Amino acid sequence: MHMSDALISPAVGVTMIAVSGAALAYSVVKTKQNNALEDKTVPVMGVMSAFVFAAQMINFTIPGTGSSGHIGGGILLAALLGAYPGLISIAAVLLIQCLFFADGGLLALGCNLFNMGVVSCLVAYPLIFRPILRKGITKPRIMLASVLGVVAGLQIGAFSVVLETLASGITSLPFGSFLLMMQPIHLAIGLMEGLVTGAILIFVYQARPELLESVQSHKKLDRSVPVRGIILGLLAATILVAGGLSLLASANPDGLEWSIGKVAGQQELTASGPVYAIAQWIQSKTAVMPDYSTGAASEAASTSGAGLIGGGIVLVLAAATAFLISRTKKKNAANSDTE
Amino acid sequence: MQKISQRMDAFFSLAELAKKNTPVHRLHPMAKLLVTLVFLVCVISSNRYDVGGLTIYFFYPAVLLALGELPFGGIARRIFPALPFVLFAGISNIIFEPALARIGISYGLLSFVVLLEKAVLTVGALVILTATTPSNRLLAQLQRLHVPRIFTTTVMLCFRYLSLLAGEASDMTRAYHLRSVKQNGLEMRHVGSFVGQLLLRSIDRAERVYAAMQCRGFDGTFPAAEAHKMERASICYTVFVPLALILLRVIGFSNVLMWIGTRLLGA
Repeated sequence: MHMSDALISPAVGVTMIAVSGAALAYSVVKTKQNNALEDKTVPVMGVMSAFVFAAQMINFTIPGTGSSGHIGGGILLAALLGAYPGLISIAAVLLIQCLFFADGGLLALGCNLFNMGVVSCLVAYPLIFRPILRKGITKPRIMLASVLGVVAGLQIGAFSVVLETLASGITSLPFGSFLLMMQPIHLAIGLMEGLVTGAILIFVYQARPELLESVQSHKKLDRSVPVRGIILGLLAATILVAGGLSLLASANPDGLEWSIGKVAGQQELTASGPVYAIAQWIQSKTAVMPDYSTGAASEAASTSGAGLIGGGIVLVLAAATAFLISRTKKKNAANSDTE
Repeated sequence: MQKISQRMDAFFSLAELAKKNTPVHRLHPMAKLLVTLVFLVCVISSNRYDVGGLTIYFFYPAVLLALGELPFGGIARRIFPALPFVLFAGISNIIFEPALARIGISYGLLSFVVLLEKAVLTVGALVILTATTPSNRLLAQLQRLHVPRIFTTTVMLCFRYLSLLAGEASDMTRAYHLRSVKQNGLEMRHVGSFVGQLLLRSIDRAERVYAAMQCRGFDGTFPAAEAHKMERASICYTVFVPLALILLRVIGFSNVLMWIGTRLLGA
């Protein structure tokens, strides 16, 4: 479910970084308040992040399908550490995954932290997982809470992936079909992950009941969490940042309109439908540029062809530059060795 | 079982690459981080149909790969795992945007190629960043950016214990495989006790780590990395490379190509 940089637009990326960054900052403040012993909490959080990392590498076979799955870890961390330290731990995992394992991306970090961390630790965990266990911890309740919590977290997360991808304008997949592809798959994944998370928590509860009890009986944390406040705050931040950014973006008329005309040339679209309507709108925009819209049809065709060919030549040149630099370097190294 | 050790091998080989001493490796980590960010923004803000314009950005990874003496194949192998979802989004573009652009190629195909270019460029830029910068120096930049200490310390500890716990997980999977009859992977009904066991071992380790750190006077903070100033080369790199990248983005390399194209073909 990691989104990569290529799938998002800068506006969506920056908005989500602001949203997730705010959630992370809030979690840091809350963690400091709730844990007087910061020097003890932090090593536990670090090792637990590393644990989730290792646990995600363990693939298990899903019965009857032959395919394999692995755990996500959001609900698991929240259950063992509490919502706020859980979010910090997940954020650490995602940062290291994006930097050192090429999972996700630096600009997409905000999106990924929201989809996989904020949603499960600050939404699914306090609204679903905790209320089920509040009346007392039993094995069936742990299982129920885990399955429902993970499924809800993954469903909201998958939905946010759809929204973020579509808002970035990267894919032309219609909203409905995209949603139909994402939600059922993540329902199945969520059920599996939920069962596994439940099994792990039950095992831990049997072996060391105090681990779960200490977090779950932490009443103070629960009372002081205005979940509605967090969600409203996040929403407000999203709207503000998104609004501001889109104003900036629309004030800057380069990008889309420009180079479609360059690459594609001016052409008449006869097809209909929303995508074509947008393309047509873009066409009408490019027609404002007198230099490029008045040319004869054949000239437009040849220039756009030139654009593509030129692009290919540039690629070859880039490769050649790299080759030349490494050859010169090797020669120099060989020379200095012989001297 | 193989997968865990393979992933960790890939991780360690990246750390090995980062130890080299080349002009790229010698640049200040902050300089490389900032330039990478500008590069990422320039690439992903490019137009979704601008196939030609993005090609100029391939000079960035090409030059860094060569100057940093990085193996082309090794870097390329790291980029592939990031592609499947991008391919999925791109192929849907081919299907849903059949309208033909002037040159007889559909908009969908153009956007598919652009998406691939963007994926290779963005993942490549990050891989190059981590293959040319030692991880502890890169993570230390977080502290310099005033990211809260709880978070930076968590990240650094996670980073340190990652290989240890992955090794533990790898040992456990190997033991499981050797004892299982059908040898077809970890069964789902065993995952609870298996991962639970790993979890308990991790928690025990965390306790021991904490005790050991206390003995050495740990107060919740990691010693800050050497406050290492930017030297002239890094300052130049941080100023001129982003300038060039932004200039290219603003002018639009397609326009340059177009201008050359019209001179060559039109005149």
